Amino acid sequence: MKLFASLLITIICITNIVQAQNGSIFIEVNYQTYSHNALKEFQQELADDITQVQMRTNDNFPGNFGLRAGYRFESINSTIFAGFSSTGGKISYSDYSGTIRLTQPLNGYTLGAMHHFFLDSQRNFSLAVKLLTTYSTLKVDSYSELDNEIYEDEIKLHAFDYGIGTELIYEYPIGKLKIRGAMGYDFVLGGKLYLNDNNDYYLLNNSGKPVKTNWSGLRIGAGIVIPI
Amino acid sequence: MSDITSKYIIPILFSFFLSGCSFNFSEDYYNDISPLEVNTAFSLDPFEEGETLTASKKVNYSFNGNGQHQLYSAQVFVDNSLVYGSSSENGSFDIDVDDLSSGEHTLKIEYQYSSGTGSLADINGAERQYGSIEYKFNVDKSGPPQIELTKVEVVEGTIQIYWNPIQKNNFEEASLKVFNKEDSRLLRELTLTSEIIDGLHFNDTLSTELSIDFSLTLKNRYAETNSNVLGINLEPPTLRGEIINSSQYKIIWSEHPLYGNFDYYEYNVRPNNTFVSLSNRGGEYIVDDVPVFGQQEYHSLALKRENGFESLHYVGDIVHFGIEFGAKNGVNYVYSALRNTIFTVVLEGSSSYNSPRNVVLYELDPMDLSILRTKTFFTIYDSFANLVIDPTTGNLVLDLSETSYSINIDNLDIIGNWTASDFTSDTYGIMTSYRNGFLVVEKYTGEVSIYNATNANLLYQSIVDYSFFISDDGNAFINNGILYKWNGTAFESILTIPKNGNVAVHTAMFIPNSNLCVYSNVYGNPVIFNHETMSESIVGNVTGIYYLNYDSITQKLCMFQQKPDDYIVDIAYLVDLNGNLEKNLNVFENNWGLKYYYLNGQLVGSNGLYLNTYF
Repeated sequence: MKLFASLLITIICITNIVQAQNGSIFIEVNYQTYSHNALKEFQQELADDITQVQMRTNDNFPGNFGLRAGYRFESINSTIFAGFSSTGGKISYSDYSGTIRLTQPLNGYTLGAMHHFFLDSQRNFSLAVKLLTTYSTLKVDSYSELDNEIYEDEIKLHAFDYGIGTELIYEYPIGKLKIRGAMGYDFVLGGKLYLNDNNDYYLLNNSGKPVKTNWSGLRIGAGIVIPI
Repeated sequence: MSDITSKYIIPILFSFFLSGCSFNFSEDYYNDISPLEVNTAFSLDPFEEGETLTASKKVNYSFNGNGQHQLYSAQVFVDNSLVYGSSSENGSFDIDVDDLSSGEHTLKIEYQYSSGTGSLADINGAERQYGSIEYKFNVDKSGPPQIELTKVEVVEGTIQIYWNPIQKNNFEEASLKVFNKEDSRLLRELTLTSEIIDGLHFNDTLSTELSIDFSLTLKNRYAETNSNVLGINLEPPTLRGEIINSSQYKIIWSEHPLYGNFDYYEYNVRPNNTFVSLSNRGGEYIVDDVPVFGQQEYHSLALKRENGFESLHYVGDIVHFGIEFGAKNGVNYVYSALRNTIFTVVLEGSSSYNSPRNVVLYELDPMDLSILRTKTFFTIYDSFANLVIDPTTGNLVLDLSETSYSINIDNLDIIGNWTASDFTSDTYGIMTSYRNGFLVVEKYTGEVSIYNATNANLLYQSIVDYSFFISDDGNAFINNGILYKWNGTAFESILTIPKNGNVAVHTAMFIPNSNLCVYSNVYGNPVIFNHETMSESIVGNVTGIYYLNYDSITQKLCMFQQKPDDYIVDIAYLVDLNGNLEKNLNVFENNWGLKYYYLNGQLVGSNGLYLNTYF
């Protein structure tokens, strides 16, 4: 929530800054796919370590809807943007006597900039290339309940990821607003997941290799553009 | 766009979508577990309901969860007191009867085990099943029962011991005690297992003693009991010697009654002390050693086991090569052709000076010298007696110091007597002998007088230089190296035997019912002299004869020579009437009046032994 509040304040500030500029603001909801293979393997290792019961994988860091908003500077054909991505992993087992659950919500907070190459004279259709950085947060929440006794634990980790991407963007004017559609691919280099409590330690799998996020994947989105 | 739109609408929309885009997790996986039928078993071994304990017992337990249930705990209670606890599925505990009184007690086992459902609670040990089993048992602190031996027997050379079953097997130790029957000394104690006690039979393969008692002892921590005593008393195996010839003899031994309890005999072979292994089933073994008839030597057979280091005992016997007979210590042994028996007279009583001695006449079987008849005649206080067969009548003549008696050989009645005092007034230190109408009075001081027994006329009187020899029919005698013969009216000298210096004839005898006289000449060679034909034959192979006698059955002379350099061994020679030496044999000489007689083809010793082999 603290991060969410910070982002909200940041966007409001940017909105104020760009009020005097010639440009447009967009907000977009997109569907994202990810390549968190390391996290999937790590989750499987956790499941395998619990041998007494057959742990099931409920969620395995699937694709999910994300959100992106930004401001395009018409004079320089460039856009700055901020985005939010969210996915997670979950393994669990429960029966009449209790529950074992391990959830790993993973969120990514992205800041980036892209440059547009317009492909038509009305400046509605463009090819954009972009640079981005993502701040990822991962929580490993364990929960067990047996004989009315509950045990919970939470480990928080974070990582910094860097990427590039490209996308095709089409904006269709409807009155003063525009409907926006975008499709592209982000290639993100994941960073090590450091413990929030101690930055000297980061997450390793059973083979001793660092467990890293990997937000790389397709991005297909739709939104609205508000010219300013 | 208005300021409101740019400043607030877009951030609010962004925030709205931001919260809506957070990832939503799926529902937990739920495993719908069906109730599981309990399938466990808890067993004790060895332990049974109603069991009676006479001693502390280790009991093994086993929990079988059939692969589904895990034992969490097992607690053992005796009379509600916890005595053992464990979480192992297999283990053991002790029931200590020392802390329990005699009587009935309760053994209870309470155990907890997993439900086996595989649920989280089951896996974490929070889902438990409970079980309980209970036994009654008894504690018996009484002593073991007394066992009753029923039979001890020897079967195929080994000892079989039997007993009756016992009512209670409340013993901890059982042992078979083996005692010497004679002095009740404990020889050995063999530990028996309870299986053997239950089997009611034991094969003692160790004992080799022949006279032993057995007793079974049962013991527990409270008391011990001893059975009745049964034993065996076996005849010892016989061991005897049999002379083969003058330089060999056989050792003959019988089967040992307990031949199954050892493997073989070990025998020390004379004269070189070599050892040989002999069968314990009996047999014969030829020894290349010079036998000495009558010499009592202990020969033994050592009982041995193969690869056994235990020292077993010996069996053995006195070996003298003879056969014992009862009428020993006879002053003379004579053969009666009339009755085909042997007679002797024994002075029975103390050998002390002037002690009373009974004059006892024995008639013996000529084959085995068993006593056929016996008659006690007189009590005398000296030690002179002699017995001869009157060749003319076949009756016996018993000579004592002062009187000589004629005894009917059939009914042993005295049919005549001649007392020296009727013939001479000097009767001190005399020996009186009646010989076919002649009465011989010989003084110890060295004088002999021969009277006509009918009219007491003195027929001959002389000193005795060495020894006086008269024939049984009284018609001839040798004195001072001169052979006299009765010519019907007087004794006339018919032969003067040469002397070697002052050495006179050492021995001489007259063969009854013949004209033969045997004496040794100056060279010590025996001479068989026919005083009718005045011819002689010399036994040249023999010399140094000091005593001889004659067997009328075999018509052999038996001559005795002291073995040079051996004071307790003589050499007996068997010579025919032609002077041919047939056999020789070493015989024992005790220098205490032991004499041998050759009668009916057997060598008879006054020590109560006769030899019926070889000689």
